Amino acid sequence: MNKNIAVVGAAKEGKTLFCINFAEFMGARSLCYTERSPSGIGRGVVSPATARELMVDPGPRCNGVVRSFAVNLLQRQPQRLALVDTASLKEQSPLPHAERKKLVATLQALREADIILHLLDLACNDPARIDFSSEANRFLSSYCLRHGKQYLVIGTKCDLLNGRKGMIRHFFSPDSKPLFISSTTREGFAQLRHLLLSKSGCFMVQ
Amino acid sequence: MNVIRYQPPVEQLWKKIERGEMATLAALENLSEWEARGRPKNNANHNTILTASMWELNRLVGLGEVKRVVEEIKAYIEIQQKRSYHNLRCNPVTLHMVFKGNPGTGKTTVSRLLGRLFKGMGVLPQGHLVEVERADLVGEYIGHTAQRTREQIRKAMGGVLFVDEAYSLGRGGEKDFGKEAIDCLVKGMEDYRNEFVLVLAGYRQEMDYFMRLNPGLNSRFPIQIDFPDYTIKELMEIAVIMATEHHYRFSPEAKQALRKYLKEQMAINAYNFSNARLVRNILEKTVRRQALRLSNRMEVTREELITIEEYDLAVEQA
Repeated sequence: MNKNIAVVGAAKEGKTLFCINFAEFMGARSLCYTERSPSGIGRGVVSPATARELMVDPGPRCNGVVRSFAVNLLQRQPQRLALVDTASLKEQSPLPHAERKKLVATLQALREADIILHLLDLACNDPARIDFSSEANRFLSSYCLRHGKQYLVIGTKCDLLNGRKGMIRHFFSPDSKPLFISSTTREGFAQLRHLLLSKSGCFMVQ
Repeated sequence: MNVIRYQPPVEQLWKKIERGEMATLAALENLSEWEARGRPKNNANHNTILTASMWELNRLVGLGEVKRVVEEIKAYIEIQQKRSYHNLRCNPVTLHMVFKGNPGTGKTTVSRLLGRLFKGMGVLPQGHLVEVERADLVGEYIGHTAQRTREQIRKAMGGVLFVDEAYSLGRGGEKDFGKEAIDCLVKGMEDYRNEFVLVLAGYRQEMDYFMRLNPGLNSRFPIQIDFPDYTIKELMEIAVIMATEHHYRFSPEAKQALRKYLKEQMAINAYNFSNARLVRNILEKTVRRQALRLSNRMEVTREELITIEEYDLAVEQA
């Protein structure tokens, strides 16, 4: 059975780096990706190192498209996870013209997802951005609750964190259980893998 | 000829975003609602629940004002849903309520019915009732209250959270944890305003005092319903209905004795009179006394099994 995992969050939360590094952590030696952009759909295969160079900010292909990375899992019945790196949620109102189509693509990815991972930059000190993420968290958790989707809040960049975990917990709704990870040091990846695999019902990773 | 092409509702949401009429948070907030508009609902099932709940409500004795308010809410929700279907601006439906009245006036019964009614209207997905009191919400140490209150809110998601004797949350003074429970309930109401309905219930005077003590509460509960005490005629009607439902019938003497007893009780306990609950308690004990009386007989007719005599009435201990 295939599982769609949408990775969502505001800008600079570390979504793309997380997707690439987590796919690599899950055993992917090359990344098959599909891009959904206003100009159409594109596909390709790159190594994780190249993907980090090209797609992570400020790389040349860091253009805010919705990009899905496929991860194959080995088990009795082969399973595929699709890690969908969505376009950043922007707080401007009204949204700039270029951002509107990206938001639509992100919402479409949310609708198609079985599991939604909401990323939050733990190192962020901007109260306005934390408020925005906190509101987004409320709506997303309510959306998932209504539609029977799995929802997980993930605090990123925990390697840059000095005792701020408590503060972040304060901003999130009481029902969400944040998981803290670092895409650079891969801290928390094993815990996340365990959570995702138990949710997706698979037991072995390639 | 102009052809109006049908667009699925969620496609209309995409168009709204592309036209710049909706920012990110608004789009996230409304995604559920727009998706729901496109999904075929099990209308037959919902209509059955709605009709059954309305029938059950109208069957309750008395409660004229309650029925009128429920009709108003029902009409308001229906019209809001129709407006929403035609893409007209809708006022958010806040259904949190305060029920004021003496014990046994039907507050819990009406709450349970409202849950089912809202389910029938598609406002709440489950429509179940979670009944709590102070002891279920207030904890024993700092932080415990919020945890317990959130747990009850979580249980009530998709249904109705009924807080009985809610005024007791506000009477412990500044250091009492009851206030923390109120704050937590208010936060829950704001965070999950469309996910559950909160009903605060209690005695009329205490609830009025409680609402005055917490000025923020009044504006958050636009619907406040008064449950008046039943009249003797209504209580007798309830007694007859309860007896008939269990295949019993009062003899004329028993009826007269019951009426007399209820009148006396109403005069003695004007403040604490427990209305329909008192009638139910009397009936339960009466049925046991009738069984004891008949068990000593060698032969019992069908008529005797049905009839409650004056002797059976358990009015002195009820």
